[in-house]
Amino acid sequence: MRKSPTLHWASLLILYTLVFLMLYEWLGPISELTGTGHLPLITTFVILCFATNLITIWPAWCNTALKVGFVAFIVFYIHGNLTPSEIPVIFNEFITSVKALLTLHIDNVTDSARTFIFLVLLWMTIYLIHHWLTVRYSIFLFFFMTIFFLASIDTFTEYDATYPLIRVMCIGFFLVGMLFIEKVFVNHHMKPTLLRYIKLMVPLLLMIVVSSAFAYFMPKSEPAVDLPAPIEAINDWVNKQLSPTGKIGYVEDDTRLGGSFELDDTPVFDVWAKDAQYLRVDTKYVYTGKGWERKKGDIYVRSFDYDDRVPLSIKSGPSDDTDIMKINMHKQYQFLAQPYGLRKIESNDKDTNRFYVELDTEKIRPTVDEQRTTLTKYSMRYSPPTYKLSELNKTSMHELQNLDEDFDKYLQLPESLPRRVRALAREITKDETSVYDKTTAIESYFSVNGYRYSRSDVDYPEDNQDYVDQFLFDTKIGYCDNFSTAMVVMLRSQGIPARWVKGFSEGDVVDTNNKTTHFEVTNNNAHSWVEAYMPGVGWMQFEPTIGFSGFNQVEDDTRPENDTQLSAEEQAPEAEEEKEQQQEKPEPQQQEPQTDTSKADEQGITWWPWLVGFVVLVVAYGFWRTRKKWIPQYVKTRYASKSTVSIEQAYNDLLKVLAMYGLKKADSETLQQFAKRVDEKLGEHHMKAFVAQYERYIYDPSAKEVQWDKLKESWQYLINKVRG
Amino acid sequence: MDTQVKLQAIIDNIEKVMIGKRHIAELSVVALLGQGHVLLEDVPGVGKTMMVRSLAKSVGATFKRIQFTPDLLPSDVLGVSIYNPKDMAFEFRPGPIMGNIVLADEINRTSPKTQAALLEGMEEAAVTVDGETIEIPKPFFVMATQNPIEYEGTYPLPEAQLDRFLLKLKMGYPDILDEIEVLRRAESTKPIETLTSVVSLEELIHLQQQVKEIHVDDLVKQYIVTLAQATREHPYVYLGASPRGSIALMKAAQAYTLLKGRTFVTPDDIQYLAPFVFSHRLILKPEARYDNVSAEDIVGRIVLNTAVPTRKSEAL
Repeated sequence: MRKSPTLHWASLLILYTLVFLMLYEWLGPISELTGTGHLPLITTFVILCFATNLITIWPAWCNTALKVGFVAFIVFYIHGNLTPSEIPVIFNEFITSVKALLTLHIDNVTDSARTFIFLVLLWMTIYLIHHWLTVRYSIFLFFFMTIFFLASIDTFTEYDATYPLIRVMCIGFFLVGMLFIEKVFVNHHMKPTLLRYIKLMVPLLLMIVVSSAFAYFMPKSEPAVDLPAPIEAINDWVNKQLSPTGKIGYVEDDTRLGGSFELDDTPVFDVWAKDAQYLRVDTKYVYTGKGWERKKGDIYVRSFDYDDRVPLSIKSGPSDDTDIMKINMHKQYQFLAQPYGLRKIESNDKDTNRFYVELDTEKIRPTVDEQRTTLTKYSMRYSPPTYKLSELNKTSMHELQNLDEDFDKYLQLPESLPRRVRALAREITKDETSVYDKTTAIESYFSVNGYRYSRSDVDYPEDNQDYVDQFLFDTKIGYCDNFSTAMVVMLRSQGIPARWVKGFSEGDVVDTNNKTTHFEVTNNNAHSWVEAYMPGVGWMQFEPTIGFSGFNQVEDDTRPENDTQLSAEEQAPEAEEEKEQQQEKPEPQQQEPQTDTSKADEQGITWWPWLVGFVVLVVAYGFWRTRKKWIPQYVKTRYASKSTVSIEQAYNDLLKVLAMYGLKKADSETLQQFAKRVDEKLGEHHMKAFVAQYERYIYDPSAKEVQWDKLKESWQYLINKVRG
Repeated sequence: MDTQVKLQAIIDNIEKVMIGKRHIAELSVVALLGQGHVLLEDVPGVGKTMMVRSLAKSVGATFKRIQFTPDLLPSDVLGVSIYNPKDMAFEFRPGPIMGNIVLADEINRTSPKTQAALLEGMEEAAVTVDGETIEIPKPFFVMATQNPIEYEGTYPLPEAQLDRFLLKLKMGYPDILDEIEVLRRAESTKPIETLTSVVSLEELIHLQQQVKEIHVDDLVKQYIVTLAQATREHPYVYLGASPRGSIALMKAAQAYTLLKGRTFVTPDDIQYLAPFVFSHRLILKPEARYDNVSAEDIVGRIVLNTAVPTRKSEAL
């Protein structure tokens, strides 16, 4: 960073403080709208960047080192919890992110890399501001951009920028005014004394205060009621982009549910299994009224090895009837996708890997040397659970009373939950007696009561509105999160323990081979559903979302004679759906066998466009750098081969070449004035000689016969001179 | 004798008397060649009279001087018919205007009626007395002076009459070395007495004819008109240069070109002469005076901001 010799440190301090306040008006909304956390840390970094511009007591590289260190610290703190063993993980994430950036798969850029890029951008911005302040004495562009930014987000997002705008206006005027005063001092070579500052600053401050107060208290016209359609469209688009979970896919953070989704068919993993089935990732049970949170405090885990029985709360089917499922991950997820009835993870060669289950969420994480890792290929043995209808019919509400207090957490509801939600749940379930019937009554409630599935028309709840209440009574439009959360909340309100499950739906069939089917699971398959506790039976999964196939897990043993018929009926719609899915299967996938994708993975990055681009850039830069050599040479050779020369054209070309040399003729300059200037710079009097002839050619018709030969010598001398 | 040599001789001659005022001498000769008149605006004692007298002596012309006073009558300028009892007829006694080179000193001191009489004479090169039109002998060149300091009891020239002057010049004080030289020469003899004419009146008339042959290219004419237009559009200007002003600039440029020994006018000549030709033709708005901007400044700025045509393709 360059030390500015002209500005006093005190005025620099004031300028930086003001600019910091202005920059802070960016950080607030960015943090609020994009869900970027750790604002205090980022703010500290900004202050550090400004401070290092002020402090010049040690060499500049110390400042750089300080900032690099702080960036590293922030990344390490946020993404590594300051655990030294996380360093290689973060390092690996950086490498994958660089690959993702180079292959333009922006979605695969990891959070740690995003944080890093954000901080580096901030650093650059602050350096730019520093340059504007101390070298250009002009901050207007930044001021204008801030106003534009705030006005835009005020128009297009929920962010209310009324007061930030007023603040920025005041700060900005003061900054611009103060810089102008500094500029006056510099331009007039005045010594900036405190008295002079006060003399100029006090009227400025007064003016800003008075005009701002005047502007604030004056009556203002109401905003236009309806936004014009194009602006409305922009509005929607921006909201979509800015939503913290704007794109579909598996995300860890569910604390604020709602908003619309865009479809995204980026593959997440491939599955080879016998049947189509849901894959569970984790569960959550703390409902806040806005979304789902994870229990705070210590996390208990239970670790297990390859081929060990996986400790999960979901029971599995008979051990003699197991299937195998293979999964090939594309994304860098540090968890496993579990089929229902998971028994064990089959060993592969990497014996160093172990696993643990987080007891609160039931998320399975692979580890290497006690560190979380990513497992790209694994196979699991599972046996899908089945439930007997006769047992389910026996489930009674009384048994729920006697449950262990461990189950209390699955009955938690926020105090702010509106009464009408409970009332509705009671209304739906009042005619049923068994727990199972009550649960299925709620499960099927949505399909017949005017609810609609949509990913695009979903709003966030208002500040004081409950997420479930909004869906059940106001909008009646939603996607899986709405349906599943509503069902969990309604079950809990009736005393039935329930939890919210996240994972992936079955995915698209790629091809079928004997017994195993290959499914491709994309971000579009990210899904959520419900698990409820059936007393005496255990946890059982339910699918309230309209349009999803759900689970085929209940064996009707109450009417043995109708068994086959019934199950056939039950299966019929699913089969149809599956057929449809197979028909809808996009053709490109068929043309692209699975080996292709793995090949693409191995090849990794396609280098040649980057290489070509780089070469073009280098060549272009080379041409640009040497233009003073080759352009005059080119002009000269062009004229050498010409038999007849237009003198005016020669004059034009000479002007261009001279302009490149820094000798540009002003419009109001006469030929002789220009010639004098050129000759002073280049020495000798060739331009004067050239102009003397050219003037005759241009202003004296009797001299029509001015010959190129007369001009040629001077002209060539000048061109050669410029070539150096 | 070669044209340029003759003209340079005149200027050298004047410079013998007017030390360090070569450019004023040059411009006076330009006006003389262009058959225009000069308004000299300056304080007394800087050599206005000496200038004119030396010019007159150099070209062998008759020199007349009219000192304008408030009570001066038109007949005092033009001449008067007096009854001659001997011949029993009115006889015309020519006034001081009937000279080749006339110095009209402190022209703004006299009444508008007398000013008008002089200016009419300047424009027509003839005077009308008692219904009789009498031609003024050629060449005819008036150099009028006005004192910019005293406003009390003066009659400022109307704009229409200022337009009659080809150039307005300001003499200015000599710089210190030049003034020392002036003192040195004035010590012994009056230098003006030693001057002899270097060109005859016939030669001067011939030179005046030659001026008209100097070529002014269309591009240069375009430049002159663009400058004149710019004076009309300038925010500080109430009334800009008239087409007569444009013509004056062209004539002056032709004369100047002849003086410099060239055969065609270049934009450099125009740029040099524009302030002397245009500035007394502009009427400024009051704002200009508040902002302390003079007509010379405005013309200078216009010259700096007007594109010079340097290509045939730029012709309109």
